Amino acid sequence: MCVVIAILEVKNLSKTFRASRLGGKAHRAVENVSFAIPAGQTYGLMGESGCGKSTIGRMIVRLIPATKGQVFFRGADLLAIKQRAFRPYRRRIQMLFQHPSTSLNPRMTVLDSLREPFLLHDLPGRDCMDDRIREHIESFGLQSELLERRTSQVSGGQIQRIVLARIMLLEPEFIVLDEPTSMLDVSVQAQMMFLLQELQERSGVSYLLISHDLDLIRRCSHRIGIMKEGRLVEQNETEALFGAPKQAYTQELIYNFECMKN
Amino acid sequence: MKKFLFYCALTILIAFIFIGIFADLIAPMDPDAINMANSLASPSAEHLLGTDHLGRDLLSRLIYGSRSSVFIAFFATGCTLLLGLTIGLVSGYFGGWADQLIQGVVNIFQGIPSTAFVVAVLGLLGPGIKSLLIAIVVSSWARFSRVVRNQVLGIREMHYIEGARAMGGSNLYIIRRHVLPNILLPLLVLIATRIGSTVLTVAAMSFLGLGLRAPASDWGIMINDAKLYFVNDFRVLLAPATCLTLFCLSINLIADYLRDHLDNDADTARIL
Repeated sequence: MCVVIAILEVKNLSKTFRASRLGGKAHRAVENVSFAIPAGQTYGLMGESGCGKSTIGRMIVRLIPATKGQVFFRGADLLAIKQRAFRPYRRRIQMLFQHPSTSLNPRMTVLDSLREPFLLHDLPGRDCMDDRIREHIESFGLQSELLERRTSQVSGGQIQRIVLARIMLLEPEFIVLDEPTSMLDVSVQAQMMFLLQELQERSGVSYLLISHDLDLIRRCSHRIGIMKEGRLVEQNETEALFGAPKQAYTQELIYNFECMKN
Repeated sequence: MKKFLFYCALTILIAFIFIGIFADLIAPMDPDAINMANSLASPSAEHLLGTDHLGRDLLSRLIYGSRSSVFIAFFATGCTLLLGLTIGLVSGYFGGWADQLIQGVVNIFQGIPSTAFVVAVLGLLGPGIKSLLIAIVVSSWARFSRVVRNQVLGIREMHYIEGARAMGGSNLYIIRRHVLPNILLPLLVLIATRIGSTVLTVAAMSFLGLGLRAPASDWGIMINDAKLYFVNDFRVLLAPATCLTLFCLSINLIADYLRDHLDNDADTARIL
């Protein structure tokens, strides 16, 4: 029997946003979500807007605190680690955001943005980081002339590649991809996903792919979780889920998806 | 046309700063040297702008006056900026109870009319440069902090802030590298307008006898001195008033130009 070792395991993760002081009720964004991601694989998290997918991603990278639950990364409970002790994990766990327009500081040049990983972490080759950056971005299909431009003067597709190149400088083991292609043209979407898959094959990085695009999730994920109103209603291997969906919500999603395709 | 006016205004402002710094070298006479025999003398080769009611050289007093006005305006604005920026950053960036507490205090400070506030603080501390500086800073930091907070609230939600945090950037790193550079340009316009209004406040307080005190050379004191004599000799009022107007006009033109050209940020224009 082949034992698959999970790089990341989420157990009973919940998030409740407090009610505002002006009234209103507390909002349960995520409720008891559990899943595991094997090393070198992609877990697709699918659901309609506002169902709590991005909140899960943000809790995993500790951008927002979780209300309850555990996130194990290579056996260590990330949510129980103190802020200072969490710093080494920042290099190993990264996140790619949805909006290219706000992903990079508009007042900085592309080169300055790419220098950040070197400034924040003790990366090898810091003395000749500009040369390393030049070499590095070319492997992402970007020209080195882009480095002198301000990030506000670069297209959305290029920004996503730059952000990904910046993340990969840290050589992470796990990346949360929060709708990485939803703001891109169809042709650029395909290029971006191809690049992500190529990186996975090359470096063995694992992904949590968050999207509401079922087609994208199906093509890129090894395993899929379907979310509805903060709960994980069903999860399975990609082909098994598409072949025999168990829950009514999943069946409806797949039926609508097939109708749209035809 | 706006560009031309901007360069004219910038030249005037630089001239005032230069004159203020090198007043000792530029002023033809001692600004405090009294000569009652030469009271209210008309312009001559010796006194290019004439003399005031105590026979003091008007041009020299104007030159020294620009030193006090420019120094106090820039220093007070700098202190206000430092205080407002720090408080606004803490309030906007960290949010939570600190933000609520700070905004409560800001609301109180902004509710008090600024001139009345300055007069009240000066009444408590007594006249003098130090008191004037404190009064200006205490009465105007709240507006700075609110503008800074509003800017920071917008920037805080950007993905590049979250990206920097996810990458391991500390709060200090994120503020220094990502937040500050993005709020400094909009702030520049506010700083410019603030310098202009500070000069006016300094002159007004000196005129009322609450700021600098005679015999110090200050445009406000000169206007105060002139109030008894300007009916017969309009020159004694015209000279300091022209300097004051020119300084404020140049600052306003610079602020106008900066608002239109330096940063095409609609939010900045709305805030200001």
